[in-house]
Amino acid sequence: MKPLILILSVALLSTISGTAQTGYTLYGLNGVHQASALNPAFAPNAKVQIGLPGLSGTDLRFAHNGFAISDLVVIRPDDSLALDVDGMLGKLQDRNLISVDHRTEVFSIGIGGERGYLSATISERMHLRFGYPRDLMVLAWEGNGGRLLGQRANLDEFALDFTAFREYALGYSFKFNDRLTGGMRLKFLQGHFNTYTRSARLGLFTDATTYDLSFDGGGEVNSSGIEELAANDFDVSELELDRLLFGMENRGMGIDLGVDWSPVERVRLSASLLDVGSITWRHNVRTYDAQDFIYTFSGVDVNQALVDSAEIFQNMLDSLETIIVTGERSENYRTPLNPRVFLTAGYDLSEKLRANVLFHGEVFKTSVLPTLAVSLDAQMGRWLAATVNWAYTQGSMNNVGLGLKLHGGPIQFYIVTDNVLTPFLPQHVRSAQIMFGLNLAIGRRDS
Amino acid sequence: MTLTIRSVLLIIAISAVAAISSCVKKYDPDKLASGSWNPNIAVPIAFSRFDVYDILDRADENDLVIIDPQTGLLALRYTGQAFSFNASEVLDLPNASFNVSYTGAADLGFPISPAFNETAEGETESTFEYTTPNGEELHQITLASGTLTLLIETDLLHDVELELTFPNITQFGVPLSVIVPVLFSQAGTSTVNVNLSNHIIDFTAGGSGTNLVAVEARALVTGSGNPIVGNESIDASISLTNLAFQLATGYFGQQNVAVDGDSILIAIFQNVENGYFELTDPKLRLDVVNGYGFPVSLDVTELKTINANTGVEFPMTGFPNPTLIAHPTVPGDSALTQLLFDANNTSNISNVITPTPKYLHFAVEALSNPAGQAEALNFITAESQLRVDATLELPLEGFAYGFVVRDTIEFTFDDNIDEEADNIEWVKLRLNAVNGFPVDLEAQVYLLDSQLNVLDTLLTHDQQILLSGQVNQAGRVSQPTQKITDIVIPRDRVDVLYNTAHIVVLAEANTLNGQLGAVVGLYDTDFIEMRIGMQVQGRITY
Repeated sequence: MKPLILILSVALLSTISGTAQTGYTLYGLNGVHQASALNPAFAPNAKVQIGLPGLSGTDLRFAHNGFAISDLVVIRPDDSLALDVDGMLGKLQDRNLISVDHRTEVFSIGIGGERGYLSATISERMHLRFGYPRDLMVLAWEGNGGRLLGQRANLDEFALDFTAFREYALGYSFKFNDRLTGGMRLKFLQGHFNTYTRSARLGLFTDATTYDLSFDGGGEVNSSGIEELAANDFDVSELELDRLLFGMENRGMGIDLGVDWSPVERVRLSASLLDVGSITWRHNVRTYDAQDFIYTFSGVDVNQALVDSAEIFQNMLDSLETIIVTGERSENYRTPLNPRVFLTAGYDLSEKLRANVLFHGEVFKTSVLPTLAVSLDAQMGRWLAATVNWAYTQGSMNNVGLGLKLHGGPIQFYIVTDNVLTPFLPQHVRSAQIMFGLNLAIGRRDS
Repeated sequence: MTLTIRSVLLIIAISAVAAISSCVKKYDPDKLASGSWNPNIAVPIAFSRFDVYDILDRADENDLVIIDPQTGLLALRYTGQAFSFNASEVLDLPNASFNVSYTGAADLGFPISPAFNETAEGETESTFEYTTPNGEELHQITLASGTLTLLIETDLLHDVELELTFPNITQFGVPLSVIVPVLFSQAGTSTVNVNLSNHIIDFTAGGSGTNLVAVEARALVTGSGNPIVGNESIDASISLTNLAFQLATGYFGQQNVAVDGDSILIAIFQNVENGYFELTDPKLRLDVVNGYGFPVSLDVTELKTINANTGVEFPMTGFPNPTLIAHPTVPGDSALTQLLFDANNTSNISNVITPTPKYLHFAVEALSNPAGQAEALNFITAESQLRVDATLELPLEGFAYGFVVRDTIEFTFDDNIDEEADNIEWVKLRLNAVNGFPVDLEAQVYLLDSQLNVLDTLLTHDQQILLSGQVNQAGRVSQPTQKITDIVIPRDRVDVLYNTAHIVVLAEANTLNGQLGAVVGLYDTDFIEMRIGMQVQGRITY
């Protein structure tokens, strides 16, 4: 019954458009301070944990849920390669997302007591989401005279969201009893740069009878600091250091919540809700918008051409300017964080071996971007812990995650990747992620 | 149990990795085989909505499309160049000269004397006839300009003063009188010119005569001591030159006062090669504006259509001819007479533009006083005209078939397009026509080389491009008809375009059931909506 539920769940989730922010493997590496960033209820076993600047944690993630290289390039029986664009198009979803995430822990410290664990963390974070519609690729490859004839090429899903900010987090995990632990992190956010596609609508309809082309669209894009950055050829070093370090114009707040519960012996359930909050952008802000429009091109108006052919295209441009009304203004705006949720259910196979089922979802715009994984967490002595998982994410099953934690004296080293296949099978994977670091872990709370 | 689960999971993990790994082969870019990108692009090229006014007006913008305000029925109106005949062409006033010699003793009663030192005076009178070129009988002329020249000579050896009075040449009611001194010291000769502008000449000489000019002479001689032998004379030469009238009355007789003709180009048939076209109610109207104050009969000597291509003439007959046209009764006025040639008085006018004529030609002659001398005097002013304006009205109601139109377009395949055409697999042109006219149109497009040899046809066969709209019992379109025509040009036929120098469009139009004689009409609500789109199937190899 359980495999059936798993299959059905995967099938259901595969129908949901999107991808997910990676990092779920770290969730299974309990005992590492950085895992508390995924569930504030998690706390390391050390009495004092210190993340050293530049060493404690760097997380780099790339994901593309559209297609893998092997979807586009196929191997033929004679061992030659062929572009299979149609196959690639078949893999695409309505909206496809390229995600790049980077997080560097600047400094962290945690102090654990008998039941509680208090932590403070400073992190630099960057998130890039570029969404592109399937119909764009169809349009480019097939033109508008193929399957799009008589259909609206849906280019609505364009999105470019980029956010760079610093996070000051204060977390507290409290063990209510042997079975229940809860946690919360309050985060003060200091925004650096942002561009945010608040709305984007663009469509091209080709009339199947007349071939008339109807364009519709509209949208709004916000930015902060980008214009300033562009003026300096995107060289961050040219910007005022004071603003980057201490500028508080772009402020925001966020909260993470988590719970870890063992309802019965050997069963462990945990859940967390992360990145609920927003940043209000005030520095060097620009808002570009285009009012909703519909413009139909039916060809050259012969009547007009007979009168004055020289003015035809100028008149078209004039009418386009009338129809497509664009604006630019400077006004503060607010962007939400991309909330994430983790749900896990674990079963202790033995004292040191636990099997888990994990769901991770990230909210991006109006979509939930899912990951479903099965994992095995193992504690191998006092110095080594490992986790391994197999996940469905980015619309792909080719994801094997692996995490290791080495503990020698006060030094704790960890390395985690959501997809260990990436360096070996780059043509088949749709994501790459790695995180590693060193912590000072002093004392043991359970000793 | 724990060991079993752990083992199973390990086996699954290893198997998964092994299975995926076994499917992977080296992705060497050099192994990439050639392929093709085959986009299909559909774009609109042009569109237009032509109403009947647009179409007919552009056929010849100098002519007018008129609409019956009651029914909306359209008609073409062609106007001929107005032609007219001026007064000077009807009545010409020639120069004239009269000579008279007065004998001193016999006519003037001068005394005979060996040494005359006295003064003596004598009078006499005479009448002359002013001769007109066509026998016109002039009663009175008001002159706009003219000159009276008097040349006086005498052999008297004394000073003479001659006064000539023209009692019937007046200005403001005062007769013209001229005193001419002839001095002995100046060899007895003297000349005087008189401007006759605004003078009135009464050629009746005060009675019932015509073309008469009377003159009264009074001579005064002043003696110089020389003798008067009795046979001396005073000679006067009286000339009327450069006469131009403002108003002339009289009887101008029977003469052809105007002969002229005109041809009206029916431009709508400019590109027509063949076909039958019959209208139910064409009309030719001649507007004759007569400013002459005498009866005129107008004789239409020619009325025909001419096919400019073949020269074949198609005369029309049966209309009433000649016609007495109205004339004004007051100088300065004019009278209008309209001559209408239609199906009621011209038996074959319904075929006026059959077979596809290019010109309508007509000629007229006008005869003055066709019934002889009228009771009232003829008059003519300097501004009098006999003007004939022709208007051909073609109400577009009737039927046509086999109406063949040909047009040739120069064509050059752009070099840049040449290169891009290599990437074209086929091109489809789509004509999407919504026809609100009661006309079917079948067309073919020929591709010709520079030697005018046919290389190919754009359509695989002659095709209906336009289907007539559905008509009601009155022959008026009640429901437009849509027709979509796809012209597919495959790759090998695209190559033909490289050598194409001319494109000939040949179209044959028929009104709905025109060959059966079904009458249809073109109304102001008729239209054609034409959209042209193009679909290109590309094939770009890599």
